[in-house]
Amino acid sequence: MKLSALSRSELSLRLRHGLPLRTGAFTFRVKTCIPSVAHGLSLLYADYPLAAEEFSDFHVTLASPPTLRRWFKSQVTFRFDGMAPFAPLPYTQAFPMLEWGLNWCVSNHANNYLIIHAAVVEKNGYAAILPAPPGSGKSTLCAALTLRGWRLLSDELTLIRLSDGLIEPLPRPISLKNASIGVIKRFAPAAVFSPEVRDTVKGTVAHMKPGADSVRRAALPARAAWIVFPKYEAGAPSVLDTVTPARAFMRLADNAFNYSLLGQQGFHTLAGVMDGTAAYDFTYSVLDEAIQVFDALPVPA
Amino acid sequence: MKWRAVASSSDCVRLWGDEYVVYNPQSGNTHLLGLAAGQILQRLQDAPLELRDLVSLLESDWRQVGGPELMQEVASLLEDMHALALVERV
Repeated sequence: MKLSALSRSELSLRLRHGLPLRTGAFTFRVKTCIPSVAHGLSLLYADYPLAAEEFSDFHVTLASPPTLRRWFKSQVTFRFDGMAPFAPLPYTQAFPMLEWGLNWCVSNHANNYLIIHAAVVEKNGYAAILPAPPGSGKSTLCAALTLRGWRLLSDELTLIRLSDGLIEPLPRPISLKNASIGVIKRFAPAAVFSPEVRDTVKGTVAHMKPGADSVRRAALPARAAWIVFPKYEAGAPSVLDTVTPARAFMRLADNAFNYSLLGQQGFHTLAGVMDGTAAYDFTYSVLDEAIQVFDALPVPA
Repeated sequence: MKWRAVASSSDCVRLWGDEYVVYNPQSGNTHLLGLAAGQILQRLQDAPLELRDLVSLLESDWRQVGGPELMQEVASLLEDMHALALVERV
């Protein structure tokens, strides 16, 4: 059963008691009475399956703290298994807080994967990993690629299975910030977005609904073929420069959440990824050009 | 005085092109090494060596005689690798 099968009132009712939402390999039980969260979920998670009731990997709750602030500058708290790992945020930021909190749940607990802070997309069975610091245009490029035929595996967390080195999909809404929101809205006017939320720590944020095909194929892992370090530079031509495997290894390790925690297992997993991939620095400014470059990436031998 | 590799397993060393990536299980750190440093580490993983013997083996590997200059370069690399806890004196 998909979330879209629920009416708005059914969704609100289920959320009051905990809605078991399946996203890739994980089930999140989301509990909240906040209308903007229900709205965001109905808008962006319509294609997601609801899991069986018995088990959830992560139990999360979004609620207003029971203090006087509830009546003045109202806030929202994210709770995970009963704990509040973050300071409360303004009530208007409830939906982005859910998204950030779900990422936090995975990046802090799913240690059967090497977790890299990177977007990852797939086409014809080959995955491209896009690690990059904030401001590099990673999510913008990821969004554009998924709007032009690439499958979204994740826009934030690349999960590399320790068991076989394959990438586990975690397709969730793509987080866009500030000018990137308008860029993608102009690039794909039919794309579905959550309402823009202003004045967050990241500026104005909005989330883009992933394609139904990416959600439908969320159980299908992919093998990494390319590591592309993107960098947006206004007015720059699209340029792809080779990065040596050893240097790409070090940069990926720096971008990993749990490389040190995994120790030798992390080293071997990442080395396995490097053996089967080609790595590049990629500078771009025009999305259509960038997509042409990605579509022409040579398949590693 | 001999030098030996702290990480004695070749399992913790990967070579791509002319660059090595080395994982040190004792420190938990990963290092990017150039060709010479990587080959020194691999020689020391095989067995602890005196500087002079190590240089002889490298001259044989590289098919060239380096003389005192090579001795100095290798000694300097060993000190650098010692600072990274990749090699130690025994």
